[in-house]
Amino acid sequence: QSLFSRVNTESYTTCDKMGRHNFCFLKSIVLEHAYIRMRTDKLFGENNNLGILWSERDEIKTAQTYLESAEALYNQYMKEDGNPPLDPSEHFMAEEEKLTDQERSKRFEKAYTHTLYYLAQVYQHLEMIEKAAQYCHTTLKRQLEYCGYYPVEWALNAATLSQYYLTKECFMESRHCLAAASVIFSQAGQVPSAEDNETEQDQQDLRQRKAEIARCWIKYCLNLLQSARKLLEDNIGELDPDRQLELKAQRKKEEDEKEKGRKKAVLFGTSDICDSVLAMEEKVSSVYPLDFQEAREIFLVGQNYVQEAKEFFQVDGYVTDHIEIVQDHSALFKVLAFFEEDYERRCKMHKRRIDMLEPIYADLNPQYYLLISRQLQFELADTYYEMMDLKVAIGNRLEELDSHTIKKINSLAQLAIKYYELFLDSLRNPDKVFPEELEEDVLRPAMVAKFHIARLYGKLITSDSKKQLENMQTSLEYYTFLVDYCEKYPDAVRAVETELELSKEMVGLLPTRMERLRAKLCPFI
Amino acid sequence: VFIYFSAVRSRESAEGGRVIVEVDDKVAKVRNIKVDSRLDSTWDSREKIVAFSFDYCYWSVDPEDPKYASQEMVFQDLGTSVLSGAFKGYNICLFAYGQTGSGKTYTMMGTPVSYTIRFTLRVEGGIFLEIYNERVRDLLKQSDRKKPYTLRVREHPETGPYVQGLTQHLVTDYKQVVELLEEGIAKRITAATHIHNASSRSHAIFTIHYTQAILENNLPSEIASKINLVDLAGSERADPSYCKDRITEGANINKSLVTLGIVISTLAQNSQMFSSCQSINTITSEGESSHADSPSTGSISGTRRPAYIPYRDSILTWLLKDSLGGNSKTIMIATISPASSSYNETMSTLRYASNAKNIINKPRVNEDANVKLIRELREEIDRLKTMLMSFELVRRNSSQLDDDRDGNLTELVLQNEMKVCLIYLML
Repeated sequence: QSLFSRVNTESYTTCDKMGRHNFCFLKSIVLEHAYIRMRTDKLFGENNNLGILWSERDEIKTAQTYLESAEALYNQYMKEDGNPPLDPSEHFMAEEEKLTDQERSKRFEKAYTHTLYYLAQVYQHLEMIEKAAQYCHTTLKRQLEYCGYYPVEWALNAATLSQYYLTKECFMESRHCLAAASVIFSQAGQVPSAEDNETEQDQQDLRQRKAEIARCWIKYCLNLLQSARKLLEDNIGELDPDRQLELKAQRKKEEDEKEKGRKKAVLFGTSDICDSVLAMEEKVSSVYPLDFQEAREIFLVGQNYVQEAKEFFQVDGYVTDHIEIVQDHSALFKVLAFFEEDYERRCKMHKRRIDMLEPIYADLNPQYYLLISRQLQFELADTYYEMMDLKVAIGNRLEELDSHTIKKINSLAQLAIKYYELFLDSLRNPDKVFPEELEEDVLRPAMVAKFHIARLYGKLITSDSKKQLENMQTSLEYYTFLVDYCEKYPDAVRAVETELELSKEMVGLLPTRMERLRAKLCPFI
Repeated sequence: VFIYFSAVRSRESAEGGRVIVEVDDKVAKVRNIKVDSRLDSTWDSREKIVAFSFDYCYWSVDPEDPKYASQEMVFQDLGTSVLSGAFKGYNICLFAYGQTGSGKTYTMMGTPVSYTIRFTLRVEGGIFLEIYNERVRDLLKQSDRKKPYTLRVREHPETGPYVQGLTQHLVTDYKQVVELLEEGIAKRITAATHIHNASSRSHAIFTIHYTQAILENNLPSEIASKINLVDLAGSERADPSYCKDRITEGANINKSLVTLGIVISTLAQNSQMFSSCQSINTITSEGESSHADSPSTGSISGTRRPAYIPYRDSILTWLLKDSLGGNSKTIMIATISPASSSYNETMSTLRYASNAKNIINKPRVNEDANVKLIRELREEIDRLKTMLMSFELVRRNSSQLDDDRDGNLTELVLQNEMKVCLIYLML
């Protein structure tokens, strides 16, 4: 720091002598920048994903002060002068070696890009997340403007940034990043590789990156649909038609003005890139879909990207990635089903989910893919449950429940039970014994599975009273498990408060009901 | 989580490093030297000492110290944990995190290996690999110096993750295992000078497959398990000599802002964690369940990660898939140096270690289906209650009125009950 201020003072003195005001700006920016580089490089270095970096807050604050003043100086300088200042190295060069204006400008702008890039990191570490994202965005934008980027790397960064916007439900920004990523990525294939012997691996890498960008698109479509669902659903998770009308009217009103205002600030690229990006954007909407038709269009785009991503991430070699993509595909169907009014068609969509998840689950060795196989068990169980619910709803519309529908309902319920049981079996220890005390991370899933099974046994339809009694007895046992477990391990209560409360009620009510049923079965005893 | 404090190294003594860490049973306390040095300034009122608590803390700095933990003690605690798990047929995964030179290799590699081998387990084979930038190289095989990280990790649905082309070495005794280890470690060190900072940003995994002969129902049987020793990267940042290179290199502004991708992905990741918590809370508050602040709330399939982040440090977790969660025991050792020159490093290691439990993915529950089910069950409970209450009422009235008519009334109620039953069976 002392070195910095000394040189800085000197430079100001020189400036005064020479009467070149602008030079001062340059010098201080450049020097501050050099100093900041040193500091920030030291601070941020090359931290890796696993290391949760916690540098000293003081140091970051100092860096922030310097960087922000560098940023302000740049802005002021560009406003007041506009010509590129001398590069620091030029002070030590002979007159004839001096840089061209163009080169000078390039270096100056690059230095400023770096300032923004460091600021992004500073804000990130100060947990000013939105500001950090904004600076990342600007950095990307400037890299593009000044042609300082590697296409693949840039595209991947833009695609990743799109995922940040997704979590903030900024779909327009997210789509813009993705469209730009796709456009810039397509440049990469056109650049011939320098070393031919590496091409095979490079090609492989390139294909992987392309598939990764496709996966970001899948998430985009999925999140857009899911957010729309959240807006449209009523308190039991069905589409609320009043809300639908309301949102449609609202959309008409705001559509134009708002979007255009927001867009200007984040737009990437020079005019020709911009045109390609806009063309890319037109392929999928960035506003919430409000009816089945709109939802279907987004669904189809997502589904195309599912195919594209699966081309690279094949199950043989990329099990986890492949399954994650299939899970997204299933989730796309699930959210599309929400928009579908017809129960039969809705049921078919869930059947598609079963058809894609079941074979994958069957081939999976839980020894290596425990978590994912548990996820699949749970999702399959839930999907069967959902289908059963739909069949019940369809049955209720009929005059009388026909035996075919009853059979269907029962078999769906049995399948749901089967997968919940498989999940519970996965918790058994190597000796196949169900653990006395559940680990915290599986506590809630396990209790919920027990609770759902209890409920399902209560829903099985049978005209045979004895069978009905048996089912009630099984149901009671599962509810009792929850109650007993929470009595034994009171810490578990807070994980399943509602489930416990209801289970207690059922444990109280079911025996009386069973008694009545028994009394009716053998009225003379 | 174990914390291990190594002795002050000679280089640190030469740099005038003071000891800034102390151990109080299972708590590690770090004195903030930055605050110490400006005691006069009034603006900084932060605490001077930060404390972290762990399962075990070992102090191996000064043999004269009463709290001094000898290697034997560390070996015993660690080795016993590893071994007792291994005997039961668990896969063991031992992570070490910390600055190079803080003794992590020694602590980790020395302890469980020697214990395992000495305790009659039959070792089948060992592999030793290094992961850098999502690529793998074999530390037990001569590789191309220019492009050493050429192996790829692939996954097979039935047989799990594997490294294509990795050599497996047969070992039968302790000596051979140590030889393999030393060979690999030596390779790591020499290679570090050829590859740009690779060793500081790479992970190394040494895996021992072993089998145990047992008698199951009087039949000879075998339990096969493995021990993974993982040397985690990411702790070299504050090394003064390491930074020097970066600064000189930094004068040349290149096309690639090296860490921009990492910055962006961290942003996406953090905001994802935040938003997924939020969405779970929204669901639970919309629904009737009141477990919003429970840490284990979540979904196993419904609320999957909302975003996809291409920058993942995934190979490591891929390879350790069968050793994280499930039938496995995971142990984390963080080794730190107590010297003041390592302050930043120590803090980041301790913070990392105390967050270590969060590394492993946790299963969650789909609340979509649950909310619906709960609502429905509530309705059923209400119906049941009404039904049983009306029955009670009728029974009491009837017994007061006329004992003779009791039978008829009961029958009537039963018939009603059956109707109700049928109705809600159909719902």
